[in-house]
Amino acid sequence: MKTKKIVIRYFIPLVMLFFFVRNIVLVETHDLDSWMGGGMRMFGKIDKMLYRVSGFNVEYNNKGYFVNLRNIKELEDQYVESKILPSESRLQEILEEIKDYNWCYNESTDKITISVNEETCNHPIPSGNIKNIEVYKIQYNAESKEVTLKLINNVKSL
Amino acid sequence: MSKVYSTKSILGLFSKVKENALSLKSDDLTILILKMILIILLILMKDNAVLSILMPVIIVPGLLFKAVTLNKYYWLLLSLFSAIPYLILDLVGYVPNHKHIFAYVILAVTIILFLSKEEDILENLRHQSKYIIGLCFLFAVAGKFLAPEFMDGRFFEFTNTADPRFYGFTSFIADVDPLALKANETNIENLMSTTNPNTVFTLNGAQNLHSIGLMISYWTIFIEGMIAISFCLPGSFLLSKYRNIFLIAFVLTTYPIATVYGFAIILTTLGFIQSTTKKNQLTKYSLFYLIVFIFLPLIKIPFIRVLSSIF
Repeated sequence: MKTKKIVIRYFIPLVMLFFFVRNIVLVETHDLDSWMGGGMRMFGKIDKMLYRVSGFNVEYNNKGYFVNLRNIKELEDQYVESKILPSESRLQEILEEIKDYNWCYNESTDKITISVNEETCNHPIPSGNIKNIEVYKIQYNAESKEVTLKLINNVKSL
Repeated sequence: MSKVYSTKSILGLFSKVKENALSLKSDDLTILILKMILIILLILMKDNAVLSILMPVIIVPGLLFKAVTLNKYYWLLLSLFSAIPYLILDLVGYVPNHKHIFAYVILAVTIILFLSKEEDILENLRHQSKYIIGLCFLFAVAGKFLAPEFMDGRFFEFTNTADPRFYGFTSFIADVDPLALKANETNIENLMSTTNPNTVFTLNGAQNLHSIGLMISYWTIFIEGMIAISFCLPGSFLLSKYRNIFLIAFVLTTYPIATVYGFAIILTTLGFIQSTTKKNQLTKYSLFYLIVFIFLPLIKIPFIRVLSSIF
């Protein structure tokens, strides 16, 4: 009877405490968005996943291209995952998934996009040209009132 | 201490009924509470295609049939459907904090239905609601102390000029041109889609917000701190008796400006549950929470923008 009462009274508070502590640890060690993960730390930090930028760098014709994952519909899940918790292991995994797609240089827009079928792509990008994945957070300078991006994590292609 | 109201049904709350006919049976109050939770789940638990399709099928029988509403296995099923996306896979997809609270509430109901004696169900629901609110605000306050930009006012300086949900308030209180704020929204949108991470832009209107940002920060720390303390303290402490006043002050000063519907509705429901008395009567606070629960969707109306366009 006593055990039942203890479970009823303390189980949920303990679960809440677990998520709060996990949030603090992951924010400090793996750059978790402090608003996420059930830590109840919303409306505290300016940096949150909605204001994070995630993408990868490609080299083509001696020029560098940053491909923002937000602009690639096929990688929507990876885009969200990489912004919530941009840990080394997660970014490495996502980078490998990115390499599995067929990428193509689009001459008219000067952009790198996914090619739906290889035959329609005039300038295919070898996966070796995908150099790294980067996640940035928003940064606000209260003196200059300027908004910029600051690199959180950068994982190079193996 | 507070004037006590009671009723036989939700409709009866708003009509004049004889005093002795107003007392709620414990079963009726339990069902009312569980149905309020189910309504929230029906409205908001549609985070992905699976939940959007399945949840109405699971929730509607609970809203229609008393035997289902009170069935502990039914709540066990709801626990599974909420714990998997909101507590287990919460770092994979976008899960805002109020969805965690949904899961805590459903888990709490399940545990109580499985382990409580029938006569203790309501008292345990009140206890859990009180502690979920208290801990939620305790962690929120701790989080704010861990964020230097919150303490020096930068957070609200940025948020009030960057987040479209605050534009009505900002243009009204800080006299910032709504078009300048709209330009901020466009600049942020462009920054999020940028192919050049070195992009820079200036935040319009932020210069008008420094002192207002600081004031909002201090008010938020104060009111959230008072809620945390008054809800976590045992009922025997004097401060605990004022907990509903602090929570109502928070609801009234926050949600007309920051229209976070999901958080507001679960908070209001938990507020309602813990505000009922041991004799299953509704207090004036319960009525406030119930009215807010019903009219909450109206916060989506941009009142300040509508008023400024009229006057």
